[in-house]
Amino acid sequence: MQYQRVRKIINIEKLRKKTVTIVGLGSLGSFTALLLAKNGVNLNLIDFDKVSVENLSSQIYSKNDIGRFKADALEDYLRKLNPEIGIRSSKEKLDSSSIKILDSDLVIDCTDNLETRFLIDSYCYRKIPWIHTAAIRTFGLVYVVNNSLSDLYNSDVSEDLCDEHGILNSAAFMAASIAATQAIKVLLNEPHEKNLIRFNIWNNAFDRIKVRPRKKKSIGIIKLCRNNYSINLGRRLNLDKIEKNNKVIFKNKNLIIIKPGIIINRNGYIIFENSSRGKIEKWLRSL
Amino acid sequence: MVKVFIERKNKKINVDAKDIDGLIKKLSINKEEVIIVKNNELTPRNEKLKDSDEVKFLSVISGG
Repeated sequence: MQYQRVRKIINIEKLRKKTVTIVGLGSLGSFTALLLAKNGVNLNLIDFDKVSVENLSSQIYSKNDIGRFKADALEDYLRKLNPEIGIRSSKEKLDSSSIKILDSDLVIDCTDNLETRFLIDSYCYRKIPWIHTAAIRTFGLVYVVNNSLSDLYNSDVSEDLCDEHGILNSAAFMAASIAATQAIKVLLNEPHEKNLIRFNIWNNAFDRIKVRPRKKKSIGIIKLCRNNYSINLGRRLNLDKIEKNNKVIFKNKNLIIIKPGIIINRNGYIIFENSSRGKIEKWLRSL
Repeated sequence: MVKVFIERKNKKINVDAKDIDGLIKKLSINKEEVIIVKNNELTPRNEKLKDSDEVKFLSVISGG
């Protein structure tokens, strides 16, 4: 009976077997989790941050949650809301050593920085479907990543921060609604939105922007924040060969992480942590 | 003339420009703060422009 109305629209039985990872449990993450939990989707919740008083106007948490980990507070809230779903929560910071916690049927990026987004991109690239979301002030963005995030951010970008610019909860909720809807469509193998969705809820401006994979000749080293860089070589790499010549931190069949913080996707997508263009060029020559 | 929308300033203007790079220089836009959309398609900065093209400079948003 619980899903009687929504069952008329979507295949709830199939959806209830799926697990979605939500990275970042602020405005976007907490609202997205709420919508998916109501539809019976199992959740894998990731955030290392704690609830603070300035979160209350734009995130799902209440005064009683202040000082608690967002992952714990949200898990408790969702268990009351829908005791039937499975929930895992993690208070780890997502980095190269913890990245395998992303394993699930779909990942939704609800973080607040490009560094973590590119980390998700490098892990999920051609392996796990994932959705990029962002929101600030009255603006929101949702993109079901078709190829790679570097199709969107292919040169140096400067980031804004919610702390500085604020966020209207309805903008975050709208982005969460679009992301949750697209997540359901991806999980049910329904045709999903291919364009980048970008809106300003304040004046109801709504753009559907076509995104093309980058041409190989324009591929370059992209500087992310804090001396992290990404590059997409656009070709498959031999991870076994890389394993032999480097100190390995982690390896599975799609990904290898080597010292000093280089995350290499088998499909040629690489993240360099705390590096420089000179060091990267030197490393690439040795590949 | 190219039709330009600068989201940060909520401003629509018509500008004479041959390519996106020229437009960025002419309008003193901080290229690190925008994604560039030409005729509803994400576009690189070296893209050529023709009359009646519509270009939007949308702010990079990153918050969550």
